[in-house]
Amino acid sequence: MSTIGTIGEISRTGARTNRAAQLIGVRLYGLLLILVLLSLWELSARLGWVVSAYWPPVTAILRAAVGELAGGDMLDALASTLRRAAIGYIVGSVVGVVLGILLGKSRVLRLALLPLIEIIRPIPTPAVIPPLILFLGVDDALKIFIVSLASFFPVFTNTISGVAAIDDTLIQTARTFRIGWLRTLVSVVLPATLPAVTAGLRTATSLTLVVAVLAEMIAGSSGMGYYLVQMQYALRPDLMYAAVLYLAIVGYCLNRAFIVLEARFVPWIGKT
Amino acid sequence: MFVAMRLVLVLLLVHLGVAARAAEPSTLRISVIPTSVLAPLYAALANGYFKDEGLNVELAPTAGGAIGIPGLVGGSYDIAFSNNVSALSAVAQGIDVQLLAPFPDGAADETAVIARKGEGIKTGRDLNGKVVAVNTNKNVIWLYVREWIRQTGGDLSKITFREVAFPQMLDALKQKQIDAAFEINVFVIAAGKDPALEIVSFPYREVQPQVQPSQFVATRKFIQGNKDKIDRFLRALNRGGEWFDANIGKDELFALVAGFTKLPVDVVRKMNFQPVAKKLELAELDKTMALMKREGLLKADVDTKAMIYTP
Amino acid sequence: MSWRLKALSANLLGLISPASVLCIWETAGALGWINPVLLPRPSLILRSLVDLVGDGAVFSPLLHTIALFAVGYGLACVIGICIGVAMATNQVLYGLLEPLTECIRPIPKSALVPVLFLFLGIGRATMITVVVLAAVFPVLISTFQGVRGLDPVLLETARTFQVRRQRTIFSIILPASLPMILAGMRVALGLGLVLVILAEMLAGEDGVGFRILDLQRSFQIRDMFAWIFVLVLLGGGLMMLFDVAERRLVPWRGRT
Repeated sequence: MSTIGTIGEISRTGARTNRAAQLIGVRLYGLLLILVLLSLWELSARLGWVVSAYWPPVTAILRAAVGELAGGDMLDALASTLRRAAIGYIVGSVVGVVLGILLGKSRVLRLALLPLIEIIRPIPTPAVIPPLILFLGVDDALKIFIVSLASFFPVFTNTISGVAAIDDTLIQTARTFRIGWLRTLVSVVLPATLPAVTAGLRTATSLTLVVAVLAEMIAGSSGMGYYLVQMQYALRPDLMYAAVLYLAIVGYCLNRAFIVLEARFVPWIGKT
Repeated sequence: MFVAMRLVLVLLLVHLGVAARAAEPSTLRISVIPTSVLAPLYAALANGYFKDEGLNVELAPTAGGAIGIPGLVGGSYDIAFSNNVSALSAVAQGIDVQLLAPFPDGAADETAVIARKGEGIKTGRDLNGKVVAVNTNKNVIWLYVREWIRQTGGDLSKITFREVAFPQMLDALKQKQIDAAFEINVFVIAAGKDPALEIVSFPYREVQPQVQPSQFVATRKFIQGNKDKIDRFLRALNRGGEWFDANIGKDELFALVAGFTKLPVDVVRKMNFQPVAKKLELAELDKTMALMKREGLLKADVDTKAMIYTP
Repeated sequence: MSWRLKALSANLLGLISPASVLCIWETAGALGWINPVLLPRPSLILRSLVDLVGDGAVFSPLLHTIALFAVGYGLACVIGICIGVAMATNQVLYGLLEPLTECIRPIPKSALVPVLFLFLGIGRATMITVVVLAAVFPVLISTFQGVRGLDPVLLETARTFQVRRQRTIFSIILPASLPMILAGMRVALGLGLVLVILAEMLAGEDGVGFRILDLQRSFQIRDMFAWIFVLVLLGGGLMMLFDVAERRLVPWRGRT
């Protein structure tokens, strides 16, 4: 297996054949399936199988999506969503990795803090927005906090289990050679947990965008979440679906980019 | 440790300049929902009336009203667009808000109960055993449709109320998931064009024709500390209202509303714009309060007189 | 005996951080540092919670939520594992489903609510679908990874001994990839619960999410927090159940 944490990579069984051709070849049916589904959608809207103001034909959505490229509110909305998602993701991931390693290494810290973290996990954000407003206001801080909280959990959970799974002999060896804790951390613990950490980071990647949009739906003055709701009320389902389309494309690209970066920077993943 | 981390995180965010909001002397931050009702506000903004008063008005639109009043209490907003039922509930729970100004109340003429055509639904009595959609349980729409049903012979214990967002109501109706829906202007217009649907009634008109469902609110604390600012705001808003009244039926108003609601202009043209109410009516607020008490939304009387701000 | 003592001290240690947060919160509230309307003191919330449990009002919504969670999460796990194994072991199915999964995965599920309403109606079907759509992907992906990451020697051996496909899946593939599958299920558990609450807020007629939203809108924040406490207890309970199950199923893991 070439990378952990994705279904987007093919196994090595056919690595000797032309990879690029295989990449498309193996997905040919899948791409056809999507085309068939989209055609069904188009037909159902055009022929009146589904009658609703909120079921525009696919072509209308595509037209709206292309139209927005020439100038419109959507790209601005997308940019502001991505900015919030990115800041939240970075903050959440950094805190997740740091706490994950600390709690993974120290039993006392783990016993003391893990319950608190687990308590926060099931709390749905929309429920706690009023009290959060007291501390964070209604602007970006609120939404970025919500995003960072959402990306924190998968990163943290994966990191802590990654640290726990480190072969004890590695640590023992480091200790035998009297390697300092910082060097042990950087040269032993981090590389060994990196596969698990990246798996968490990947889960967080797709989650961040989703949560950023959700937060904007509830409390946004800008961004894709706000835009989606506004277009619903403005009787513009074509633009609404175009926004969903852009989100899907961006999400897909982020995931792809992640795989490429991972293969480059964490090449030892999956070589166990 | 974890708490400390959180604190660091928050401080970091603040440091990024995203949470800090310096209260500039001439700035007013207003939470709004971009609905046609707010046309006088947008008119005042577009025509520079706030600037004339030396005010810098910042609008913070949100898709729903969920954060308006919490945002006021938290100090993130100075003024919020809200409705009478939410404001009364807030006061009943110890959130000391005051109503500042009313809006053009087309509510009575453009908010309607919609049903499928040909099913003979005309009154509340016809809804017994049926499902009625409201946008939000226990809020203003719910309150008035229930009262309308009661007054027209319906038995509330035999009717199911479902919470459905306004944009989804018409589809739900056509798919027979619900039997009637209390819709707002845009969708009432859409329903009027739909051969499968019909307008049954305008509940506000029948229950309380002069009802003032929407208004601006602010906390009493803020108002007392910023009386001059509030008065200047209301003066400018008033001018916006005069412009609005003068432009009803004109292209300028349609263009303005289409601009901030993002609605197609031809839909805006069909809207039923009514002049701005001159002032907040205590008697109307009292009627709303009485309805809320009957439905159990309020346990005791609220001092409605103290809720209305007078410049 | 010493084992018990150890477990006891571990549990006590675990109480320290939540307890200190509650103490700080209570003190800050009592000193008037926090606006009591939006964030009431924990002691007052606890009183509401006691009332809620005392008069039995807690049970019907709680059962409602648990039922929705059980169905949604159960479906997500079954679907996720089935598709994950199928995609990892069958190249044609992989090619067929991979593009679709990757397209649906990044879409914010809340944006799909209008579509779901249109096709599934307002109610249970929509709510369950929202939960499944959110919770299925972590399970699917870690199942896929788990199966793909298996030692090829293991599968070769099975092939050498001409073990039948079905048996290979049930006796070799699933047990060997169980730790990964469970890791995905753990992520899905938290996500699923949050989504159940969200779904109840969006389309519910009852349930904890419905109650929370109702109370929030009428500014009965104290009672709202009592329900959030209920939710926290529910989440904690589910996590503990999961831990127990995991320790049973994968005794060589979870020694953290």
